[in-house]
Amino acid sequence: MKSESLKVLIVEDDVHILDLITKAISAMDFRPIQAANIASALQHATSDQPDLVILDLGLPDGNGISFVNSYRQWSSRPVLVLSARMQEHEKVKVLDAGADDYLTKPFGTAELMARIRALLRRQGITASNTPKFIFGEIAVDLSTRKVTKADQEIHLSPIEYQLLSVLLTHHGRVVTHRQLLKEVWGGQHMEDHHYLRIYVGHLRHKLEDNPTQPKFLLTETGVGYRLEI
Amino acid sequence: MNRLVGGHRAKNSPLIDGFVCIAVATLLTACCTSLLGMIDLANIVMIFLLSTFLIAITLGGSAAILSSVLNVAFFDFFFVTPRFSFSVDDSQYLITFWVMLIVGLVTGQLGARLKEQLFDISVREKLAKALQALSKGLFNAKSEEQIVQTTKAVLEDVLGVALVIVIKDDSENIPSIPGLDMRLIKQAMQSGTRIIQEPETTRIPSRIYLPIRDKLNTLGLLVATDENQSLKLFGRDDLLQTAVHLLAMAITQTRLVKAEEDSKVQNATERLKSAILSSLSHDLRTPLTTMIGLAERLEEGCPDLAPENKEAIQIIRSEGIRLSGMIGNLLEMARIQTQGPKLKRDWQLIEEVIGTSIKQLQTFSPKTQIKTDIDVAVPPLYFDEILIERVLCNLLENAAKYSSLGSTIEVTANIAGKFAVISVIDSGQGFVQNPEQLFDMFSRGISDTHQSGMGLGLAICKEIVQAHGGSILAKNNEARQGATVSFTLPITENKSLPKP
Repeated sequence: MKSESLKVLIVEDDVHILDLITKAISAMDFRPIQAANIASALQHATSDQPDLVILDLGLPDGNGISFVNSYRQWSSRPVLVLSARMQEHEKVKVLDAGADDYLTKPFGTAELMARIRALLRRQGITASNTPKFIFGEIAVDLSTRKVTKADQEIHLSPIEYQLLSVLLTHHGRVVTHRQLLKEVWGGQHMEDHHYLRIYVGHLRHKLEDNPTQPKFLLTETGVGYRLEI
Repeated sequence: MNRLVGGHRAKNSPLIDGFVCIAVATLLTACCTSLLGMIDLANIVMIFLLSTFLIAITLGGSAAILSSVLNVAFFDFFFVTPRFSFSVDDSQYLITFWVMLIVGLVTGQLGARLKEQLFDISVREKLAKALQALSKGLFNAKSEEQIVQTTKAVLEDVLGVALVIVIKDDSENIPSIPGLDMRLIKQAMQSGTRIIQEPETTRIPSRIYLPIRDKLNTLGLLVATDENQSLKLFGRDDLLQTAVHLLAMAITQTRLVKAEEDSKVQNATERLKSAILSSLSHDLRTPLTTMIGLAERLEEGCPDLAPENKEAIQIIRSEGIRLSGMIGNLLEMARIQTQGPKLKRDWQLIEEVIGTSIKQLQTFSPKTQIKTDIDVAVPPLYFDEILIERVLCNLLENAAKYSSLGSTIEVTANIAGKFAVISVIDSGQGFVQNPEQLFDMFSRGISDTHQSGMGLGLAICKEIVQAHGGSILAKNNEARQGATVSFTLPITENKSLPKP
């Protein structure tokens, strides 16, 4: 898969931002496709089969969530959502609907490019299905369930290990509280967000050098967690 | 006859009654004397008895007694031999006298009572109709004033009473009403039971104090006064009690309708406000995104830029991000001011929120050094993470703004009694003005410096912390340079939390 061939669909109604993102995409040697509303976005999504969709939530013909809903019925390719609204519950809603990540306006191009790379890379890794992950001094082998930090084995409780492996399989993108609770606890404690927070706290104390200013296990306030590797 | 009072007890004085009785007896005697010889004495007795009966149903019981005694006397004197004397030849007439007297008394009393009962029934019917009219009138009443007016219009005239109606929940604030006993008003409203003042002499009016109550609360008071007669007459006290129940229902009903209308208006206003805030947030942030993005592209796209130009571009970017934060503060303040802070609380670790706030600060002030010192004994706290993050971000931003470049900011968290105390300590110039005033809206720590800011941040912090049941305090450091802003969050026990 060569990066020249990668197509990115940009759905944004503000001309300047559309231009800005288009230039950033071109600079990454990807092919930008532009759409200014949901109707044309759906059309391009079917005809051009983009590898990634960048989607603004506030569009003239409706909320971007409706695009995610219909797109997810036939495509599993990553969707990055842009939103100027701060309300966290909207972010959670669009992520739970199937979007992979979000950026709040205003954002920097550097951050946008980093997110795009992470999403596209993750897709490649999922395809190769590597069981080993190395970030900082930490090495995780999902096949042997072994976690080491600076070559010292770290003992994780079953729940902590499960949490880490879910975050690893989704690394680079935000995973909502709800998704984590569902995958780790399997449908129980769906409303008990505090379980999650406390186990993430434990995990941070075991893995991070400075648990208060974590480098890898990041919090997305009001939304969920992201493992940045 | 609208009024009960005029119709019933304003009867002729006993003197006139007596005079009428004597006149009737005299007239009958005169007629019968002229017919004497043509009719039997027995029929004369009948005529006298008839007159007693008629007097009973027209003038009442006491006139009937007088009439029957008079009739016996007149009959004895004028008709029984020897005539014109009270002596009797034939002692059989004594039986006639007794029968006449007893029959007269009994029929008189029966007739009088019949008349009174008929009157009573017609009065009660009128009262029932008044009550019916009242309930109909109250059903149509739209406001409390209308309720009062309707009640007075329907009841005052028919019942022959003067009404005072006060609709007020609080017995303390009732304006004094001339002629009424304020002590009794308060007593009735506070106890919720009726108080009746019955006249012992005719000079004091009969008066009833009826609290208007729904199931739980006293809604007001009704005072009925009758200057002439007891309110217990014809069960007017009970009728008033029923009227008061109707009043209570009507008042509750109008209040419910009003509350419903108010909440409809309020909902519409809130929807509008939140729509405005949401679109403002969108419209202000979109151009900022372009600005920041373009600044970044300039910086990356032109590696040969002179250092001062590069710095200018970096400032455009970081000020853009700061502006976005300020818009966030402004919108948040507007939202809190109009709707009050809506907390979405959950159990969480304070270190997590401290971490995300530090990360946010570093996006626009990457050179600031931050040291954290969090007591591991601080348990999970129950708070709204987004709002507390906003508090910490504002405090950190202020600390960074008023500290010299490259200095260290310290964030600490520890336990003090039933509260967790989170402090942000800087090593800047400290506060010039009274730290108390800092939290007022739009007051700024340092009034005229190169540093910009709206001072909104601290006002929002105060609102949010107080909504969580905590407090916020600012002071200048004693031992060293700089200032400390601390806020507290209550520690509550939660047994369902998983143990480490």
